[in-house]
Amino acid sequence: MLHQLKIWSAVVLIAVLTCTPLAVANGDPMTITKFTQDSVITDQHLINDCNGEEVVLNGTMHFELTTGIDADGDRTLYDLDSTTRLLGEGMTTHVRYVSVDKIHQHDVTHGGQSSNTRSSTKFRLVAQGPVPDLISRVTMHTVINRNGTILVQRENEKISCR
Amino acid sequence: MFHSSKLVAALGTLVLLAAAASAQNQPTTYIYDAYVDNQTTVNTCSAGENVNLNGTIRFSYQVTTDSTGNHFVIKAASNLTGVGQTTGVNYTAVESNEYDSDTMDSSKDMTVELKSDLTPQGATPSMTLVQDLHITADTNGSITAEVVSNDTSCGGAN
Repeated sequence: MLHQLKIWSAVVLIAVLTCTPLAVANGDPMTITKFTQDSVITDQHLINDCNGEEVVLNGTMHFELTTGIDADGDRTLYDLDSTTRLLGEGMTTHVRYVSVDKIHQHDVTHGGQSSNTRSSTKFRLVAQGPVPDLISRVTMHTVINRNGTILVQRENEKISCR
Repeated sequence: MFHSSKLVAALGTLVLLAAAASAQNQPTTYIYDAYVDNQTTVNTCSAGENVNLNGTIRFSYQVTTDSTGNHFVIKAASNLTGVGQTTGVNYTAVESNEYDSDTMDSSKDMTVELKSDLTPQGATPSMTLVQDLHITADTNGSITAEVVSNDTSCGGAN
């Protein structure tokens, strides 16, 4: 079932940019580490609910993650900026769509736990021509470990023209 | 980036425990209304004007516990109107999103995004209002929420 398609993003690159002891909010000294990661979305087939046309999406996801761990290791901050760039093509009309979408999320856990969240969101695929844009509605399941590994699963994605 | 700037979100009252667990094993739904009172965003997609936003964002959440931990399910539903400060054009934004978290913690502290069409009166929506929402909730039914930023996005044009 295409609408239940689940794609775990393939990890292409993880880079630890900096690891800096810092003092941040409420006087709790924290070690701040920044990571980047890139993954690829390949041939994701979806159905446009408005006209039944199959649309194929390809693109990339770029993640910029900042983690903060306090001195005793109990409190962990996860601050994630992700940029999704998608190109779509209608398989019948061959209309092309373009999307650049940014998401910011921030999570706090205790006891060294990973961040495990789901967020529903929507983004616009802009049509390259005189046809309606497409709206994608998707649940982003994001799991982030303290070592900077990011797993993103796009769940229950649906596209429509409204 | 840790958001330090906070637009004023007039925080509403903690309303009630809705749905008084008519079925005994149904988790309680806690509801909280945050009032958006003259917050400003900028229409960066066409008019380039400031838009004053007013309305409410209703937060409702449930938490369940099992052997794997606590499962928070938080919903945010916006019902906003806006007025362009240059053109006088009226805007609307109505949207709902859900944010879930699985954790062993007894409380949740997260900042998430609520994206909604910011629609000028009589026009086709082409612009997205992106609101950062800072939410804290715990297993005892306490919740706080505020809007920490209001931005706009133009979809593929950004």
